[in-house]
Amino acid sequence: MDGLKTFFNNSYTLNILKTDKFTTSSISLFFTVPSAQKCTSKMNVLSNALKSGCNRFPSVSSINRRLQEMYGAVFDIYTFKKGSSQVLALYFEFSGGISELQKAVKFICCVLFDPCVKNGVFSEKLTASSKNAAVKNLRTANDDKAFYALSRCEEEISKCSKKNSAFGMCPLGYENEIKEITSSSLYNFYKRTVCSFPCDIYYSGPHDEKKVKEIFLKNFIFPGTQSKISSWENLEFSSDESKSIVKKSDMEQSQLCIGYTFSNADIYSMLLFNEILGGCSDSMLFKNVREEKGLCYSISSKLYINSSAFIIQCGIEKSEFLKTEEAIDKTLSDIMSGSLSDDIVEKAKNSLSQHYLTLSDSMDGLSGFLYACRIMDLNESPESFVKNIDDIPKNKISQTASNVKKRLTFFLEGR
Amino acid sequence: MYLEMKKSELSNTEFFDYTLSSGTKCYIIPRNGFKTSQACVVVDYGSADIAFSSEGNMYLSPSGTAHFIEHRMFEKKEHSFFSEFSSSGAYCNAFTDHRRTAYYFSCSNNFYDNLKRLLKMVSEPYFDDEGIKSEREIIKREIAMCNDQANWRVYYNMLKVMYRKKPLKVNIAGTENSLEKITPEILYNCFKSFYTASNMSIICTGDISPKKVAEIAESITFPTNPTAIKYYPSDEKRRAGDFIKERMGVNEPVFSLGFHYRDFTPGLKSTYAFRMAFELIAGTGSALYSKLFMKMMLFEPLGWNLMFSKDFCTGIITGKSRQAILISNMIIDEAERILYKGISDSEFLRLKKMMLGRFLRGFNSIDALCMAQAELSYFKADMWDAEEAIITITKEYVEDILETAFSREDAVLSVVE
Repeated sequence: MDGLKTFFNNSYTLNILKTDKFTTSSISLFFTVPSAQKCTSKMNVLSNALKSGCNRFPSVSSINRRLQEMYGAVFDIYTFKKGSSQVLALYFEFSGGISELQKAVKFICCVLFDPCVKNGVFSEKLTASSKNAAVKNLRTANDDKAFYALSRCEEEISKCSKKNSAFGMCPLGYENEIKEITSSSLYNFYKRTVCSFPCDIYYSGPHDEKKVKEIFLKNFIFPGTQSKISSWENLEFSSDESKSIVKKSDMEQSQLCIGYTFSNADIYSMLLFNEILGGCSDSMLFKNVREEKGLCYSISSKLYINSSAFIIQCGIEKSEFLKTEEAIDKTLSDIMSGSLSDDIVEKAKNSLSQHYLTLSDSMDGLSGFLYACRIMDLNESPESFVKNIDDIPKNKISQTASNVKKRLTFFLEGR
Repeated sequence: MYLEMKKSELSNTEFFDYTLSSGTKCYIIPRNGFKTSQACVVVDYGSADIAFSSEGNMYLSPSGTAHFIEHRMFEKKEHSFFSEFSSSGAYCNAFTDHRRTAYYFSCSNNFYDNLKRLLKMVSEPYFDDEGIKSEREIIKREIAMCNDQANWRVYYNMLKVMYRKKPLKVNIAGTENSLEKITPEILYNCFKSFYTASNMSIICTGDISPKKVAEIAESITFPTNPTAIKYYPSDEKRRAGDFIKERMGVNEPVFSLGFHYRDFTPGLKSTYAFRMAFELIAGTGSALYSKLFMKMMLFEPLGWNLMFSKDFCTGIITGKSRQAILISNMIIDEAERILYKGISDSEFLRLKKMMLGRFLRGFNSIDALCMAQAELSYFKADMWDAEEAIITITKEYVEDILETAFSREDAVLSVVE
């Protein structure tokens, strides 16, 4: 890809994206852990622990004061799920010249490689506050009934599949697992993450590759590993029968989530199909379910490309469950039967094209895209992505739709 | 055609201001090298503007009228602008808050065509019974969605206690009852009263030509009839109380600690000074935040927002904790302590660096830049003015703001658990 230079060493892959467009520079870093390790809980606690202090900046406020001194530099450590992988990510954004890049890299090294460790374990106080934050984040997320309904739908789909896959694992972890984490087990997990799992670094900014490479090689020294990553995960089912689950809640509005899987679909067809169905603001679901029937305020379909699955979600009145399900089924069968106007297909292609071609307009847009390609084992650029989508003929969309299977209906019933 | 140009050395950006012959203010921020461009039209008319006089008559419109107009503006008799934007590859949306309504689009192609489209869309209303009936149902779903959100409820509960009479304490979208009262006549009347040239601003950002934008803006004139005069209830001498709690059965309670700034009209500089004052007392770099985090009374940073219009000014600190009352008292005590001790030069410099850095970072996102300018249009200011305000802010000025920013007697605490 133009403007991208990649360097490999034993511990990590360094990707340099030279750009003069922004007023700041950014560093994104990803440790990819196979979810077979079942580590979402430890990952969340670890991310809290690392961003709450290190030996040089031993409190959350001293870290933040340092960032404020660096002209409001942005820093975060967080975790997310991608197919069969769980990712520990770090993001750092800063302004200024080459001296600021050196300060930025040194800061990241302090936080990542010199955490608050005493006698070979994380400090008890830090472990306790990090566990507390992880539990509270999980509880708060579940207070959002849309998030809760979606997570439950993912979990139940996973339970229906032949082997209980990473698809259903909650990316924020589980309360009972979090409570069992000790300072020692957390430290062991930290060491394993830094030493044993692949690390990808993306720098985006105005400095030339020679200077950037020099600064990283001089400061970023850790055991690490270079190994192949693949986050693909195929959900397999023993039958085509779809399951229905209804749970009651005290909310005013009900949440409807319906999960489906694709079979034999390539990623570009899945992307285009999803965009037409419920990915963009002028989608078929938006038109049919909201605008024509007035059944909801928001409706969308979320694509899980690494798992070849998608979930349609909307907030509705309890009494309109059957009507809404019918409207959704009709929308899908319209796509299956090929009743798609050229206009709808064109709009969806334009929307995807706009999304991918403007990734370079955001600080972490391109790095996020490149990392996603890396863990899907794809060698693509935004331009080649758009070309592959543009080349999809209309009949391929209905073919893709015809191979879709409904797996689960999850209804979180309101008052 | 006179385009006033100001250059910022800090961000290396040129800002162009232009007043159309109709009186509409136009703010243009070229950002070369970006593929996305964005345009926004802001109308100085929001959910709190229900009482007004126009052409010698007094009107009291139902709550949710401004928001209802926003929903319907995309749809006309024969066609949908939503569909047209989509066909030309643009993403479009709109929002309403207490004091304004904004319509915007972003695209990587056909910017000037879409700009014409946007300006035409907000100058030509079409409201009919059938459209209103279907939109009513959609908005009812929106209200239900918001009612299920603890953050939404905690905020509105706080407003209800703080302002007994003011219309801003009603949901922006209105209520199920108020929606039933909305008719095409009411929508047309409100449109005519507020969607006027002098009451609207146009903001454009991206790899665009200021001259071409000005030419297009000049070619589509917003109505030039006089804007309605807004009326608000007089400020209450007595609040309904200073504490309100509601049970929603959430796992983690949320709270809003609001401060009512009576008889205070915020200017551009004061909005930044309030932010600095908050960061000093309870921001992520403060001793108080560190203490609350390590004692596990907080697990994430507190939020800050300054809400204002011609009718009100409120500072709001938001957070999630089971110990909201204790934390609120600690925040107020800390403000008193720092006021007594004074702000050190090093603390002030650190916060100023933070503000400048944040300001600069805003130029990295076309959307953030467009929305920041949309916010500044309220003060008839541009990004150059904002930069000047931050650069010239003094420690003494922040101390003045701090004197009344977090006062116990102005505070209202709302908790949802």
